Amino acid sequence: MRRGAGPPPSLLLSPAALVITLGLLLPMAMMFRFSLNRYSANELMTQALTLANYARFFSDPFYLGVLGKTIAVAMISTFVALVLGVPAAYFLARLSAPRLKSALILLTVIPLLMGNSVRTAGWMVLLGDRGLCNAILIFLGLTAEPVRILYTGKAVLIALVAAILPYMIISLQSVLEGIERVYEEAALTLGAHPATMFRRVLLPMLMPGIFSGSLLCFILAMNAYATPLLIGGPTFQMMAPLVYQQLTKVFDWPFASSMAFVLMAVTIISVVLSSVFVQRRYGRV
Amino acid sequence: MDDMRTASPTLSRRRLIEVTGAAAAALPLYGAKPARAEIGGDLTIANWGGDWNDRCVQVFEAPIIEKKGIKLVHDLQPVPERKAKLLAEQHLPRGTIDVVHLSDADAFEMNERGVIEPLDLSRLPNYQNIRSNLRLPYLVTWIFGGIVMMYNPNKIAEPPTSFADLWNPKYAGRVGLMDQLYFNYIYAASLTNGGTMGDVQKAFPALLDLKKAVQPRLYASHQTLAAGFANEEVWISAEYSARIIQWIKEGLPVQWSYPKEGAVVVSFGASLPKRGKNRDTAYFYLNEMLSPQVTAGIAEATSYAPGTTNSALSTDLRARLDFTPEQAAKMNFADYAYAAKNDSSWVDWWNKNMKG
Amino acid sequence: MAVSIRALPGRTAFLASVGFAYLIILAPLIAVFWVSFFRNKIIAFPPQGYTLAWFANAWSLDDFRNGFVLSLEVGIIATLGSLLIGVPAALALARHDFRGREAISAALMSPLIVPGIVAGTAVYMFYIEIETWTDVQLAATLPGLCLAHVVLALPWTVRLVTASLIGVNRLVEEAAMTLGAGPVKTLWRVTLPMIRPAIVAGGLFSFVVSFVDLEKSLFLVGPGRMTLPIAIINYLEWSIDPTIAAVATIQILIISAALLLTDRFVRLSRVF
Repeated sequence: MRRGAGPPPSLLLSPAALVITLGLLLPMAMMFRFSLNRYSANELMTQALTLANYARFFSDPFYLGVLGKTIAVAMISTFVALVLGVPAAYFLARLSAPRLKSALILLTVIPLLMGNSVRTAGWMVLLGDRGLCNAILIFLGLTAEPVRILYTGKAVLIALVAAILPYMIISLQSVLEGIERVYEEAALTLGAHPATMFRRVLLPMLMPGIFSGSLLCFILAMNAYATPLLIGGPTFQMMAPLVYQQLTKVFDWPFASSMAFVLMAVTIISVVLSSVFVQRRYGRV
Repeated sequence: MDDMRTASPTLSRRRLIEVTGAAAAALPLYGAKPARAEIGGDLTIANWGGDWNDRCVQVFEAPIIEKKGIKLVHDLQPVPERKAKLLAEQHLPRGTIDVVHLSDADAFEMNERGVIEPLDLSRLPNYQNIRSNLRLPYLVTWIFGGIVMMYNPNKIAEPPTSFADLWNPKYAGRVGLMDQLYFNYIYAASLTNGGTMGDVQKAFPALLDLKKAVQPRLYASHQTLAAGFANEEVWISAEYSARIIQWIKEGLPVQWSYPKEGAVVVSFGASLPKRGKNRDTAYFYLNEMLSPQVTAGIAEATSYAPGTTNSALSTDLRARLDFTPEQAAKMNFADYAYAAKNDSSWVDWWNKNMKG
Repeated sequence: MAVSIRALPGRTAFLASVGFAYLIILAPLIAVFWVSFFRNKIIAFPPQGYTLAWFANAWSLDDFRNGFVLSLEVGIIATLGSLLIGVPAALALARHDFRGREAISAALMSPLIVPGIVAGTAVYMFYIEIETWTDVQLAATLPGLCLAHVVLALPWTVRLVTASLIGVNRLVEEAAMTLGAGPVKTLWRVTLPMIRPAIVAGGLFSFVVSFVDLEKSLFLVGPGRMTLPIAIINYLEWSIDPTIAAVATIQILIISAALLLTDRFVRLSRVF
């Protein structure tokens, strides 16, 4: 690697570093400070240096349960998105007809423009007791009574997968584009079965994309707010809606801040652990 | 939120400007008594958005306030954000909001937290027309409503007569509850089980029974509950009378009936945040909210009952929107202090027991 | 085409999987389009007939129109900001090895890790603190809002461009340098074109996440201003009729048209 070629890294990085510091890191530091305060009904917060908020979170099986559910939902939806995303990304990347490809790329990204409230309205029509899915199921005779999907965990998983899949596909696809076809062609010419070619040639080269795509989707799912709130219904509680409730309904900012940091800590730990794992197996990504 | 800072002894630049500005402003008043309040300029109103704001503008703000040349700027968002902003901004020297629309319970809470100020009644001649049991010293109440029974008359022939009908095992799987109204269900459970608005201990075991008996379906918002009724997922609930009337207007197969325990009251109005500006115009705005035409117009537009005694509501509308004297006599009012003190534990209990 | 899809055994399974993936992605979008024509006054299935009334309603409401314009403005500013500072940052992270590289990379990714509602409230309260100390108002201003959106969009650019840079074949750059091109020229004429897909993708995602953002904008817009997502949730508090479906349909059609136009000038398929 050519060292020192081109502008120095500090110059390249300083605007971004400045924006992030001012726009996020300092606010979060402030919020962390809040998490050590004590809640007060009158003055909103009293200055303190206490871990009581964190203790309250970890000693309550209810909150731990919500955290566990959030992690499980995030992992499952990420896995499903990965399984569906790899073939779709490969299809998209290897498509040669340019018009079709542009169209498909647009179709992948445009659903992201919907925004969560509107998306919920769509899911209501699809997954409700009287919705399209149930209408189809009943019409096909697969079930006599409507199947309860909306306002359950099933609906949250379906809606989350639908919401994060575009990110997975685009992450994978942009990496796949950079992997030249010669490798695949060479393997096939040498007599490898396509599945073997995929497993032993393509997959290792795709690992950076799989890693970053899965990580991204996992984080998006962990932080999901509107989808579990609106599609899961009030009985399906996940972390982000609970944090927001503490922030804006109960106004217990110290406790809300501590919950937010627990959520982020779990996310960060997962990121670090998987990063270490992947680096060990596949080298620096 | 960090009030250690306000105790700083150093004279900040801002404070200096304040002091000299006040001194300078005081001088010309010698010998000149202000004859009438200055009405004009800008006013920033914090309110709900959507149809609600459109109605406020159409019925009140455009024909009366803006007609006088007052420019209104709107800060529209749901209640949680509106309150959070007021709380966060309380230590700023500038106030963003001049008039804030709130419900009675929210106004109580904001007052307790020192974010809104008591009203100068001498500047509100219409204040005395507010119904006596709706008066709060920091809120100009212009409409009110009550939590009543809501049911689908096609599925439930006899109108429910009591909150206790929600517990009826006949309706298992068909009871809908609106998650944000948790405190109203606590009150309802309390009232039907020998408790009061000021002591709701009996509500909690009763609500656990409710869960066991009818497995209520919880909805995240008023509108999703309405969708639940439209889909016939649920047939019975307890909701704000005004919402139900609005839904009837929109063709939803619902009716409302007055529970024998008496409705749980909610009222709406506006308050003055402490650091709002343009006070004279703000008081004009508040006073006009209570004029007979306005309370009639806003009641008709929102389907709530007028909060004043002298509202210019037609008899038909009054029959549809207002409560009869017998109904009004039985109404239940929240003990705001009690509610504010216990709210976070209620939220916690509700999250863990009814939603877990 | 490298692997002829036709030659793949299990190609039915492969195509079915691709089809299913796109079905899931597009289902809510199609449902929303469809619902925007429903005559039902409350969004429900099945449709009670069809009408264009909701489109008329959506168009007539100022909040939606103004919200769309503001969301568009902020989205474009956020995209430009994100690309301008994100691409250099990605270059630095991918190409140079220095102490604290991992930490800085993590810091630039941090907006992804922070849940939107947490970031929104934290940034708002931070702005208030700054105003308390320095009299500089950031909350309820356009610059303050745009800063938050650039922060929101930045990780997308950095992520996508860095991942692409890692996969880039360095030999091409080395060849260019051997042939006498200086580092800046190599960057401009060799490296950047090779990562153009990622830059476009970064810009695209920057715009999308900024446009649909609700949580950060809720606290930061201020009086007299509103973004489209805020207008939608305000509307939803009082009405769940297909108007919001119509709003979404109009908004998506307009932006898709813009993207299709972009495709004319910058062939998305070739670029991607």
